[in-house]
Amino acid sequence: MRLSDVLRAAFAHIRRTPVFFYANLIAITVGILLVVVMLSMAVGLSRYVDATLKSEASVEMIEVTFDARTPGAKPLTLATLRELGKLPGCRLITPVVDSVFADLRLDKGPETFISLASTVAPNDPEVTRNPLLAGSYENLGGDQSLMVPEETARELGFSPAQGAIGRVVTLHITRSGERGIESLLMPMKIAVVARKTRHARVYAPLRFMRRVARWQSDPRLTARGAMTAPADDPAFAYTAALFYANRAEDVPALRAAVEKRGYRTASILDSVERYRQIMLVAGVVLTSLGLIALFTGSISIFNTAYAAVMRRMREFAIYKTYGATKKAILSLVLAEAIITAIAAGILGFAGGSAICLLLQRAVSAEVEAILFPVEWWLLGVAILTASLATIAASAIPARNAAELSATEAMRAA
Amino acid sequence: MKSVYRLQDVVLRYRARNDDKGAVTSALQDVTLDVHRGELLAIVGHSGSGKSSLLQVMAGLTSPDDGSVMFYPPEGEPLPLHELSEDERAVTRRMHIGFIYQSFNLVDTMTAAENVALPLLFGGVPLRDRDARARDMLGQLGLGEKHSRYPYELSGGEQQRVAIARALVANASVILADEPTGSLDSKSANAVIDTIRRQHAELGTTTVLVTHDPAIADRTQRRIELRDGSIVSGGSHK
Repeated sequence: MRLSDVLRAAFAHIRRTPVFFYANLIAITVGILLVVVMLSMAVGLSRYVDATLKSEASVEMIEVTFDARTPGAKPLTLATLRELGKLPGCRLITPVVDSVFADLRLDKGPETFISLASTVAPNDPEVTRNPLLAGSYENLGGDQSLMVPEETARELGFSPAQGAIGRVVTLHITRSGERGIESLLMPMKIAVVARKTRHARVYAPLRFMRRVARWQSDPRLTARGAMTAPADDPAFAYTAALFYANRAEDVPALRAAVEKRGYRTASILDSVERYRQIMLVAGVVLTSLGLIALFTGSISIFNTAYAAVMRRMREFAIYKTYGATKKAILSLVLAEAIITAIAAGILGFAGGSAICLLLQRAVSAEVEAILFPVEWWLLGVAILTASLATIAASAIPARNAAELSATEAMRAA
Repeated sequence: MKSVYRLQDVVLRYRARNDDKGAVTSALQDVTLDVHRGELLAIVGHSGSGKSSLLQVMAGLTSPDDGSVMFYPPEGEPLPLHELSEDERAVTRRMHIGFIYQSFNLVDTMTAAENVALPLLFGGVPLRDRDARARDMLGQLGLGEKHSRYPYELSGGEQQRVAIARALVANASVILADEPTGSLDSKSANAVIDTIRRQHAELGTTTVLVTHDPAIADRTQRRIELRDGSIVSGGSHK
């Protein structure tokens, strides 16, 4: 039997029994629509989390910290860092002084609590990856210049935040020791305002941060003494350093090599992987909900197809008498299922896409392109899923029809 | 003369449906029969004598429980119907055997021409060709004007003529008719028998008629009588 004849016969039967066809179509379309929306939501959420995490830090970056309790690990001096810089896959190392907490105060104005970290700007990937609102990284060269995130600038009362550029603020750092709590007050100039920074940090030049770290760790050193001491000290041991691999693929090997030398490492890829697993579970749960709806629709198809075969028993017996093979009968029944599946797949995709577009409007413009994506591969998934569901539901009735003996069927009809 | 069918010790039993342990009825018991090419043959007998069962075995619609059914097509190797699969028997019917039911068995949702074209449809004949051949066959049987009518728009006699056209359209070498006049009034019945006889005379098609009407059996060349599934007369050629 020719394919064109199979399709013609299937369409003719659909025309004769429109109620059955539309009932099946609606049942499967609703299931597919839910699958499309759930899949889109799962993919969108996953991409959103991925993008958000990757905007926090470079995927090629490894945060390396020194722990004095680890046997064999050398303090992170410049000499040690130069040695580690020769490890395969390592492109760049920037020493870091961080975890310095301070108050930032505008003269006779508001103050805000900040986390201070060092930068080797202007060529520091840690800061140059941040989108700027005002200023330039070249201006971070001066010892007493700062880079603040927009959020901190607003907390200091600058609105718009760009207004903070060039303004002098007071940095208030404390240390506690035998003499009680001591303060270091430093006038600093805001040189750069970034849209955001990692962990909302405020960055100051490395030379300045080294002096602050020395003052905090050496009770004998006065504030004046710390700030006038030579900037470069080859023996200075950094608490951390940022290692940059040539490519993201080099990160695991580089981490392993660094950890082998007794250092602790952390990478944004750890968080990405963790969230990916969570998103995978969420995606499976969401898609399962759609598939449950589809399964319910498939039961409806099974019932309808079974009833149709019983109703057409005499017709199939006549076909067999006049030369129809099992394959021909099977094709006739399955062709209707496939026509229903394709129509349901297209309608389900169209309906699901419309819902996704409406949901996109409900979220902020910043994330609408990521959440609830409407993409062509979803149409393929919709048609494939609908086909699998309808073929699975029609397989048993179709097989029964094909296996029917003409004589038995004629007698039963 | 050459044989078209050679049945040897054919046994067919029916078991009550949905009952594996149910009583078994013998529909055919050691039936041995030769049918010659071009013959017009009547199978007669009371209800339940096994006439229709014999015709179904000859058509390959049912496979015998025992014995052999050899079919000799006009060209090619003999076909052992008792050994062929269901699909192979379906193909044999499509190519060589036309079957006519008592109750016409036309598909209600198809026009007369579409019903006639069924064997051609399953044979893969293109739409235009099979439509032309179906209309031509209907024309030969006096139903040319009614090719687009549905079965419910035709009289009983007309429906049976459509069924005859369907049996003939694929140039079958054998026509098997199961009480073709059983559902018709006498006038329509005579017209149908006339049609079958004319087709037999013009085309030389081997024709086997099942009937319980002696008058119809008298109009054939040979009569076989069945009783309780066995041939009691006419099984061999004189």
